Formats: sequence, C-alpha cells, structure tokens
Amino acid sequence: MSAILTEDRSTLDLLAALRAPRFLLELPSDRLTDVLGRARSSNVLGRLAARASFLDESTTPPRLSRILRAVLIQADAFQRSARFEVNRLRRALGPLGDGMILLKGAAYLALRLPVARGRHSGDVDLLFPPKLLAAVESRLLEQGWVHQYTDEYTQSYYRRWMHELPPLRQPQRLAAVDIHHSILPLTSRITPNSEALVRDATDIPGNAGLRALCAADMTIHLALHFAHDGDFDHSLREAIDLDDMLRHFGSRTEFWASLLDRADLHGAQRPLHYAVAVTHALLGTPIPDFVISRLARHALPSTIDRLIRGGMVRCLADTGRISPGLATAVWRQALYIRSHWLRMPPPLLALHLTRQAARRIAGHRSTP
Amino acid sequence: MRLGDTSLADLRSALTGVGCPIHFGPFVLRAKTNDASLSRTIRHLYANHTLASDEIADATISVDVGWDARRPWRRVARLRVDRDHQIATLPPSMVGPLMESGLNLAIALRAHTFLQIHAGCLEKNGRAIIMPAASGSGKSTLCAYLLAAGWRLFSDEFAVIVPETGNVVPVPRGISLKNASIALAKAIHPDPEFSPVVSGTPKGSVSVLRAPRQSVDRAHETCPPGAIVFPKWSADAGLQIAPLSRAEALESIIRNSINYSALDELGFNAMTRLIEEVPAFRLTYSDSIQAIDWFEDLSSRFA
Repeated sequence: MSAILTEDRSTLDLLAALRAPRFLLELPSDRLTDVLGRARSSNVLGRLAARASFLDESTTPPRLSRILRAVLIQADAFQRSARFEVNRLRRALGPLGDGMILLKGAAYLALRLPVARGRHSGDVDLLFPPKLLAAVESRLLEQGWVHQYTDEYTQSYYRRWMHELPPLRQPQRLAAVDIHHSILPLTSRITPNSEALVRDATDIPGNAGLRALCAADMTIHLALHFAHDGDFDHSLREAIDLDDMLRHFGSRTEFWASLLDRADLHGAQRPLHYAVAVTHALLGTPIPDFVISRLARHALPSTIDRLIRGGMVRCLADTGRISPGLATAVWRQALYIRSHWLRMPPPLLALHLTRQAARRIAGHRSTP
Repeated sequence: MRLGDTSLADLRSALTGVGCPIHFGPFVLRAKTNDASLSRTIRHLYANHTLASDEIADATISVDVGWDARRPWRRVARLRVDRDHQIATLPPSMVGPLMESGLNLAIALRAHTFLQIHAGCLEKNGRAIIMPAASGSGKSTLCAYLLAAGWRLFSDEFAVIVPETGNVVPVPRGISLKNASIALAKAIHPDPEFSPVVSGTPKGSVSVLRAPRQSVDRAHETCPPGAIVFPKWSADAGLQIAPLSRAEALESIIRNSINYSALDELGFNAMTRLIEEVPAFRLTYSDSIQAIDWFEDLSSRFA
C-alpha cells in the first residue's frame, strides 16, 4: 500500500474495503459514513456492495445492510434497462443484428460475469464491422432512435476520428447506444486488429444471435481504455472491473497465455502492462510473474515507466476525493493531455484542442 | 439528545466540522454548513429531532456559502450531497430552502429499500392517509390544517412504504409552505413554529412549519395505510369526492411515485396491494375546513 502515496484516510479505507469488504464491519460509524460517501462519489459504491457478501448476516449492522441493499436495487434497475435495450436493439435491427457483438457492460451482463454485479450503467455498446455501420445507423434512426448530439462539430468528430458513431438514444428511454466499429479511436497510435476481434468473438450462451469478444479481447478492451482514457477521475471503477475480470478469467491457466498472444496481435502490450501493474498496486490483483515480465519488455524506460504508473495510481486512489491536492491535480492534467496525445497525432491534436477551446469560450457543451 | 438541547456554539462546531447527524425516521442525515444563519435555522427547525450518535449516516448534505467560481464578485450558496461537485447554487439568502431540497434529494435518490411516493402523509386512528399531489394542489396547506386538527405528521413530501409489509413509515420533517399557504397556516399555528420566510426563491416565498414534538417522538411507529386521496384545490368547487376505480388509482399513484421503476416486481406487488387494500378518492375542494371535516369522517371509519 506504500505505493499509494497518500495519507488520506477515506482513500485508504476505500481501497482496503475493496480488497477485503469485511473491513467495513470494523470501522467506526463516522469513518464508515465517509467511506460510503467517497465510494458513491467515485461511482464504485455499487461495486463495493456487490463484493459485500456479509449483507444478509445477522451480525451486519442493519443500517449498513439497508444502504448497500438500496444501492444494489438501483444497480439492478440499470441492468434491467440495459437488458431491455439490447432486446429492443435486436428487435429493431432484425437480420442486420445477427451475431452482433456486445461490448463492455452489456456483454458482462449477458455473460453473467462477476464484473457485472453492482454496475450503475444502462448504456449499451455494440461492435459491428465497418461496412455495416451505415446500414445499422439508418435502420436505428428509422426505428425511432435519435442522435444525442446534433451539432455538426461533435457529429463530425465522432465520425472522422473516433471508433464509434455519436451516441443514439430512444427518446422514451434513458439508455444510450454506442455503435462501435473498433475498440480504439481510428487515429490512435495503437490499431487493434478489428477483423480478429469480430472473427474470434464467441456466442453468448442462452442468447441466440448475440456475441461477445473472447475473454482475452474483452480484457484488452478494458485495459486499453483504462490506460488511454483521460478521465482518471472515474477510472477507479474500471480498475475494479479489471480486478474482477482478471481474477475470474485468471483462474483458467490458458487465459494468461492467450492474453499475451492477443496483446501482441493488437499491439496493446504497453497499455496492458500499465493496467495490470496499476490494478495490482491498488487492489492486489494476482498476476503471474511470467505475464509481468513479458509485458514489461514493452514498457517505456524504467524511470519514466515508474513515474507514469505512480501518477496513475495516485489519480485512481484519489478518485472522488474533495480537494485531492496539488500532486493529483497535476497528474490528472498530465494524464488528460497524454490521453489526447495517444488518441491523435500532434497536428490533429493541436487543431482539436484549439477548436475545443474556441467552443468552450463560445459556450458550447462538448463531449470529446 | 435533542438538537434543541445543544448550544448553538456546539451545533455550529459540529456543522462546520464533522457534521451534525440527525435522525429522520429510519434515516440519519448528516448536515454540514459554514453559514451562521443556516445553523440557527437548523437548530430551530429540528429542535425536536434527536441527534444520532455512533450511527452510519445515509448521506452528508452540505450547504456552503462562498465565492462563485465563475463570477468571483458574487457569493453563492452551494449544495453538495456527498459529492465533490455541486448539485445546485442559489443566492446566500436561500440557504434554508437549499438545505431542505438537499435533505429531500438525499432520501428520494437513495432510499430504494422503500417504495417512495411523492405525497403528503399523516396518521389518525392507526392508519395513514397518503395524499399524492402535484405542486399547486394545496397538499401542504391541507397538511398544515390536518396537523392542527391533531393528526400525526409522517411527511409532507414522501409516503415511504415498506414493500414487504405495506406499512407506511414516518420521516418527519417540517411542512414546506409557499406563498398564500404561509398566511393560511400562520392563522392556525403559532408563529414560533415557522422558519423565517424566504422570498424570491424559484417557488416564490417559502417557509417551513416545523414538525411537532409528538410527531418526531413517535417516528418509530409505523402503521398500515388507510386511504389514498388525490387533493385538488379549486375556487368555487364546493366539496367534490370522486371514488377512483382500482385501475385509475393504480395509474395515478404510479405516476406520483418516485422510485417505483427501480423496485421492479417488488414495487409492482406493493403498489397493487396498496390499491387493493385501501380506497382511493379524488378530492376537489374550495374550503379547507370542509375538506378537513371530510378527512375526519374518513378517519373515524379506520378505528
């Protein structure tokens, strides 16, 4: 835990509770209130509640049990929403949707993975081969979905540079639908092998016509976004996801070898290196030594590597914290810039950031 | 220990430090503020409420007055519920209403082990009347009148129901009154029971009539529902009572529910049981006294 570099009590309590949820039962009330509040602010309370197997035990304080059960009830509601959305999409797309690949939360839910429990998102992510994209989009628009962002810049940003269409939504429902054609933006320095992603997707048992990425690809997808996304204020949730996923799949011996092979195939060794190192530091995820040493071969020179990993760990640990302090603020900014750097070559980046600034001054609400 | 028994200095110290955890029925809400006038308002409004000691809080609600980040020449009151960033800001004169809405949000957004209906709720003769109502229906005025007629206040905002048993749970806070209803309530309740009137809020002028000691002391006493009444004030209406069919009642009460859809099958079963077990009425009235008489008559049939 010395890698965490923080004395903030709520941070340490939250990480300890994530590692060993029964720790919550040892805390005095005021500290417990703080940890629960902090978990909520970090969007991980549902995930913490899902790990708290002691909820129904008679020795658990009733108030704690009630609070955690309420969070799980809410998570269930989001999951029902996601399941229904997948059902509606399948119905709307007809033959176009045969064999469509679910990504992220929708996939975890359909596969009943441990990582699905306690999630607070009803959004649905789908992966299609690029050549089907236009047909899928026009079919959904025909069937009543609408674009969430209608301004030209956001629309063109997504279509030209990103790996997904701008999000769609059915007006009567809350779930957003993201149609992906790759798992990373087109302009990224890493170009995952999209054909292999689609080709090696596996059928989801009990859900005819739905598929998910294979275990190794699913893990790499998570690791890529974890290591590349700029929003380290929310990534503690993704660190927990990675922890769940690696523990679940990692119990199969053949998983680690296939994970390394697929990382080579997609050129995703360095992001995976960061992901496993950081998750291990924060949550104690067991990683076999041969995996660590193989991935370390693709890391940046040791000093820089340690610096970046340390920065990531610090930002993740401080997720949801009020006034995290100068070091974290600096690292958040640095990682944000880094994420854009990874997403776009420099000239494009300069252009995009300039446009962003101009739009913000003009008062637009922008996402990218 | 009651809030009213603490010194203002001690209360301020808690509000500016670790927070002041207060029992509200089954919930414990921890209040924080740096504002002196809000500290006095809290001490007055919740004088009858008990301080929680060594309890987990359901939420921490902070109202802080500080400089507006975007317009640094102005001071604003900022509402936070647990989170880092703010939920809402209002002018510093409105710290009271801001705290009240924070307390409402903290319950409404989280209490999913209960079925919550946006309704006034009072008890007499062992049964609770649930009054789902949109703004402007006169619900809060009716609550104030019923309180004066000896009814026990459960809440003016939330009917909180245990899905497994159908029992209604008190969450006593004050009755939020606005505009014309303030004067009406002041005619039948002593002035010291009201918080200072705050004008110019998004809802107009607001004041809170605090929950009487008895309602707070008996907050642990749940009871079954007795009737559902949808009130609507309308000048020249006289007194019109329309019984609702079960289908109409179910549809209307679902529309007024806060977290029905989060509760899935449990919520559906609880809601249908409620409709099957108690009668539902639409009450259209122009004279509050006449309406109260009708409520009294209704409650006499409970016992």
